[in-house]
Amino acid sequence: MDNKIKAMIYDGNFLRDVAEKLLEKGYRVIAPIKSGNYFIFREIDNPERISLNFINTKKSAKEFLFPQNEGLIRYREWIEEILLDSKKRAIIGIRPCDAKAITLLDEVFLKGFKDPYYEARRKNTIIIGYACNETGDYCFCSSLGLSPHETEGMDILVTNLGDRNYLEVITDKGDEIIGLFDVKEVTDEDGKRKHELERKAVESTTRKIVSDMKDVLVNNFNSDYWRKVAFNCIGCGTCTFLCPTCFCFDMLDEGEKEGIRYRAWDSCQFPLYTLESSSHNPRREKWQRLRNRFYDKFLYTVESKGKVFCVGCGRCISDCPAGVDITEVMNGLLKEVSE
Amino acid sequence: MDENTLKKLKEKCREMLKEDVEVIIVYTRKESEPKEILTVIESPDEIEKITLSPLSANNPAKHLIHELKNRSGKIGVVAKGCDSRAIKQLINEGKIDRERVHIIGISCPGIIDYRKLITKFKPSEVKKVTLSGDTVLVQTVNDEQRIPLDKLIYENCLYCTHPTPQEYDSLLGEVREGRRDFSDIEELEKMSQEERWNYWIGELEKCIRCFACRNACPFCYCTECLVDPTDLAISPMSPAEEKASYPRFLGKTVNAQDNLFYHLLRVIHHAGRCVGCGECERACPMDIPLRKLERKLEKEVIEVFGYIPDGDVPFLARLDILPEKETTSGR
Amino acid sequence: MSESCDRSNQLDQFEPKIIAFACNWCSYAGADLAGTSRIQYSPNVRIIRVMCSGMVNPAMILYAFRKGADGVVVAGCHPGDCHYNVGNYYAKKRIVLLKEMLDFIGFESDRLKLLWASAAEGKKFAEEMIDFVEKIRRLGPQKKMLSIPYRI
Repeated sequence: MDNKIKAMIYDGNFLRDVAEKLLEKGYRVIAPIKSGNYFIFREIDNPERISLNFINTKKSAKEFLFPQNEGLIRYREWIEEILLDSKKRAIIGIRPCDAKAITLLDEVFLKGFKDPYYEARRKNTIIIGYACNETGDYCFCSSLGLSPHETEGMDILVTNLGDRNYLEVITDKGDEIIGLFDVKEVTDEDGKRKHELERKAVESTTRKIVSDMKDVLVNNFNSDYWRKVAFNCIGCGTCTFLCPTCFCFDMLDEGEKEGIRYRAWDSCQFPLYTLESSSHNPRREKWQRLRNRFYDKFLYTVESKGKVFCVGCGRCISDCPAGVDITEVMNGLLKEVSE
Repeated sequence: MDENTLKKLKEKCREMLKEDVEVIIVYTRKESEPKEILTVIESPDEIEKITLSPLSANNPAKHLIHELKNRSGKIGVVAKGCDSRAIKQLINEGKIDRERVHIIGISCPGIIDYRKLITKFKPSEVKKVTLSGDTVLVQTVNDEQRIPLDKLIYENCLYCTHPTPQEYDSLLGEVREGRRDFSDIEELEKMSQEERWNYWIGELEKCIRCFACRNACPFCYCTECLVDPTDLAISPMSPAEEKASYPRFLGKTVNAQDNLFYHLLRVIHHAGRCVGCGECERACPMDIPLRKLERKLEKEVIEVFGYIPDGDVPFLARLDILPEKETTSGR
Repeated sequence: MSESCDRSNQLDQFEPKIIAFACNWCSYAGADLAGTSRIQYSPNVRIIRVMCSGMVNPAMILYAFRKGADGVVVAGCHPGDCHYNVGNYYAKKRIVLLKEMLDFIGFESDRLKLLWASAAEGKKFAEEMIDFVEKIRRLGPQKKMLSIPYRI
């Protein structure tokens, strides 16, 4: 699939121009804008509002494929309406780690049982990414085998070479869009500059994580290490809600004679997450719930889907109120075990 | 918060561990960045881990309750002015046993907003942050920079009423005066009703209902929270109808009105109890100005009821307090 | 008033929905007395009997607004006369603070009313209700805190 990547050069600001073109064609364009002290994805109607001066946005882009509140069915005496959303959307300016996270969400929602709501949104969404020419202090995608110029999960990847943009077209959907623009051939110098930028971005990454922890995790489930690590944790849901790959949800009904059944983001850090109907709660203590998060990301998903469910965006580290750090926890476990 | 205080703190901790204290809750530095977190030390060889700097932001009160439950001996804790007030209020509410706690009070000049710091420096390049008088000394890998404290201080610390702890067993640092200042609340009150509504809806639209504010607050300890019950009172014998019809004031819908419901309710429960530690605003990942709501409540409790939140009897239980004068909005 | 005379269709006029939490011992008995004495007052008021005005939680009041109530009344015994001695003091503190906070966030705090009515004051209860309904009718329908997911 990746042999088909075509590269070309665009003179100008591709992301702004493609936003304009897609708005004309009736797409809902979602792009990063500055809001207060941070950047966030929003549906825009004016391409001038797009701001690309960031390492990464505060929230990930998963809320456009898997919203925090999604109506499933509306009911009166019986099911009135199944609320599938097939609007055409384009997510522009997404970073490679978040786009890779979307492919991980595809593993959950599209393999095996196909989730019709996710499928309707995913089929009608175009993803145009923006490569990282510098990495932040919280980024660690390269330790997980990803690159700041990764193309997986995108239709088009845009790299900023200064006065021009280097475009990589990955899918047929991307091809159609490129057809609307005038593009040039890639010269050797362009290729060299792009590789230089990629190399510099990878080398500037200061944070590292040991990701192949399967055996260590299996053998240390009952270790006291997890109680120590959880001393600080306050048990909120910040890490799970900002994480681009966390996908747990709860389903609730609201309304009596007529109402709506909707699903909402849930967090494994909330105590009610594993409360069973018999009133038994297998993860009653906070340290058990914190331990579950690391195990789910680095062991359980590896066992069931073959992939580590972490893309190295670092949001859980920068926004954790208590200072729980996924890289320090995993590296610390390895150190503790080897002592 | 300077080098001198840190040295004295380390000595004090060494003394305490030799005497009667089982563990001490102290601040320590994270490995990968200069942020400080709380940790527990049990033996004198962990003394070197202790740090104390203008980045020591976390409030140890909730962790203290947790440790008191899990251990049987005496527990020491390093507490700034606001932390000490929180511990005192928790003692009044019966959550902490005063006999089992040894409080090392630190007189605090104000805490640095970490998010402001990392707009000026790259975290991995900062080696050390210390305070010298009113200046913050930031030592990076290249050089040392001096920044006045009020360029980096938390907005909440500007309105601190008790920088020097009032409940302590030992006190370090020079005594400071606090002040009560509601000028920013008064600014907001001057806006028209529509402007105020638009301001709050705009801010609360950002909320993702992660409950970091509730979990970080020392006084949100109800196990059956009104909006998100953490400990439903069901048993294996509860019938299905009871479980299905459990009252739910708020579901998981996340929109500006429901977020308003949650935040307003949370703040009302802190009438007369909030000590102003600012953990709620610091914990919020979306930078919502939660302290403004709490301080408005504090202002009303003081101005309408004449009650200064320092007493031993909880505000709501004081029967001699009824509104002394007309409410500030004349209702 | 001439407007309502011109209108032939009475249903055009906005009918507010008022929820009243009335304490069992005094104000609910007062409302009952208004009923047995055949004193008319606006049918817009839906009374919920609670044991004491002190048990009314700000969550219940905000929930009423969330579900579409245009006004909320909390009615209890006069200070000093509470059947449980101090419940109405708690209610007074809570409602005063809640009104201040609602005003601060830009919601019309006039929509919340605290009323002391004893079991013998049937007439007073009815009069206060009529006044309140007219006040809410002038303020108009409450849209700010309204949040019904399936209507959106």
